Amino acid sequence: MDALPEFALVHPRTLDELIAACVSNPASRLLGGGTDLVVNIRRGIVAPPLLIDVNGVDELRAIKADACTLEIGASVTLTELAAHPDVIRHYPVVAQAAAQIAGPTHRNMGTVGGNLCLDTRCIFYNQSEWWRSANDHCLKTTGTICHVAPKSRGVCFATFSGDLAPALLALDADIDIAGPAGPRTMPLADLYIGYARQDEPVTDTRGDGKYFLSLRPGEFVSAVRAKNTADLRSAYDKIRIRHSIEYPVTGVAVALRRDGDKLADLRIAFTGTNPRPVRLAGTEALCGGKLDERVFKGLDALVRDQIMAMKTTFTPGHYRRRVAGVLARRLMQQLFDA
Amino acid sequence: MKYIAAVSAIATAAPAAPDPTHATVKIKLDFDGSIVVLSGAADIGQGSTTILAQSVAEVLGLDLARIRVVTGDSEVVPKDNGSYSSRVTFMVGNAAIDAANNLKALLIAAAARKLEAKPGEIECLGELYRAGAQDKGLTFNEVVTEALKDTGTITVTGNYSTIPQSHGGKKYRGSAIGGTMGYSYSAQVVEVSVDEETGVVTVDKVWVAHDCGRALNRLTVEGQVQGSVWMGMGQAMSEETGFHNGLMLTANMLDYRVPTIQDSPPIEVGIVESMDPHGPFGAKEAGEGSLAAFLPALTNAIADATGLRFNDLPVTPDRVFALLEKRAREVGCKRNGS
Repeated sequence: MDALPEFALVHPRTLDELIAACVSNPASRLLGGGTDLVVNIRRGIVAPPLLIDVNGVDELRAIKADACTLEIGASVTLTELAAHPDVIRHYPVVAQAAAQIAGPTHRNMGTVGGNLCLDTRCIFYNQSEWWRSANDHCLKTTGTICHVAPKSRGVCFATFSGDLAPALLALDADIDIAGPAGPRTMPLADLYIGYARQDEPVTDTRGDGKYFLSLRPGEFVSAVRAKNTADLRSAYDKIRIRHSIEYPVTGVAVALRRDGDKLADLRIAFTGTNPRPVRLAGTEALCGGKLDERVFKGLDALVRDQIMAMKTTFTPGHYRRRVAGVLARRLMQQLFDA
Repeated sequence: MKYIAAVSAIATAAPAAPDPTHATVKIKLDFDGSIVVLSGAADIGQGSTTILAQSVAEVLGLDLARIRVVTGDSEVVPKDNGSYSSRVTFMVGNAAIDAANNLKALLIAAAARKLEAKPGEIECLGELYRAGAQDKGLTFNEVVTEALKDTGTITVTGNYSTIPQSHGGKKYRGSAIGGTMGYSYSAQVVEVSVDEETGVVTVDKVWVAHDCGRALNRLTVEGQVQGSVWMGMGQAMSEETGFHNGLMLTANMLDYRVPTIQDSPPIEVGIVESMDPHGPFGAKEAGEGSLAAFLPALTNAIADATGLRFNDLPVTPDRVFALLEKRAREVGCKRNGS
């Protein structure tokens, strides 16, 4: 392979031009900040013949944020998002998540769309061409087995590590999708299909670490939107071995409402564990009473059932799953007491 | 949230191995009075070029502005063993002093010729060479003109060889690596917080006292000692090699986690000066002595905080968590009477 394979680079100025460019070459890739894509190109993981720079399309560059609604264009940078005063004020979980992504230079380049669609990661995948070839490749590229779970029968367990997804899942966000068949809107949660179930085949709606987004050919995320809920409190926290230039070991977003001394609403989402960001199901059952040991025990059970951290990172999966629960518990307590 | 703060101190001596190979420095003096120091010692940010310029300026009594140092280009400079093992200030510094003394002897001889005096009567004041306090003497440039009269451009050589030492009955001059002769000492105090629920260790502050012999440049000594602490932090807390079927898993700057400035605690550097009889102007080293002390100081501090002893490095959060869990299980077993 070449250090950087040849590719064409185009700079569309409108959404229509962008869609046309996508349709013109099915193997094309969108280029936001390139902080993830270019690394993967250099490692020979992907070799798109056409890169489409999305940063010149004005329709994708706006942040609209007030007390009622939030709308973020896909090419807004993570730095812009983290520093936006109304996002910080009304949607702290989003600003906090954005501010903790990688390092400052990555945030200056990296985009919201790129982070939401961040490729899943694995220690057997994010390696050089030479390394992967010496290891017989893997399911996520051209190989036939998953080195994380060699008996996985065709299921890839590469881990989703974007920080913005859990924050926006906790806000019940929707995404706008653009594509050749026209725009459509759907819940952000439906974008992520990395269920990686070993007991069922990978399909268009239930994928794994390799097929982890539900986008159709030529489609891309153009914006993400959320409605605010009165009195909603939210926050994001994560564990990382060092505090910059690092993917999350595990990240947790919590949003909750308190009604008197009762927990009225609870939403929790995780990253860095499964092949998809996981919005924890079943938290409604924990609401209605005080924030006590019963709630935390229930939380632990939900985390145990739904958070599946495999040996996809250098840090053991067991640890990632356990501290995911710890962070969630702490954020709940902090927000409830705030 | 449970945090425990603790303090621990440790003192270490830097490893040292005298070496038979020596350093060579050349100095070129040209008609315009320009002095160029030629050395193979690469300045890798530690400030060795500054130290060489300072050493030559000190011997010749000249302002630093008169000295230019050229390093690294092996077509021009004499061979050097390299910037490692805390050897450059000690060995190359001594060679630079030797070269400067050789140049000074030529200049004094030239001044003596011109002033019709004996070399022993010549007083070198840097910019002025004179034969006794009543003599109006010669400027540096006049001396240079006289010195170059018959030969043109002058190049002198300076060398340094380590001192043979008795070691186990044999004359010992170190191994082939040409390690430092600067036997420095370092004491370090590390204050940590240990999060007992996540295993995250935070270094709150580090105090270092480093005996570098005479501090030739206090600014670079302080910078070097801070760098040693960061290097020690990497070894102790985050940098790790791991292999899968003989393939290194962490062979990149993302997964091999060198600490960033975000991970740096406040570091208080205390310079303890002493006089090394063989060191350049009494200096020893400030390259690595304080690296070694960080590791035991950190693990002692963690032991003070938690009672846990770590025999595996780095002390990553998952390792701390695993040991905390193991202890909790053992305590639980005892409580249950089993």
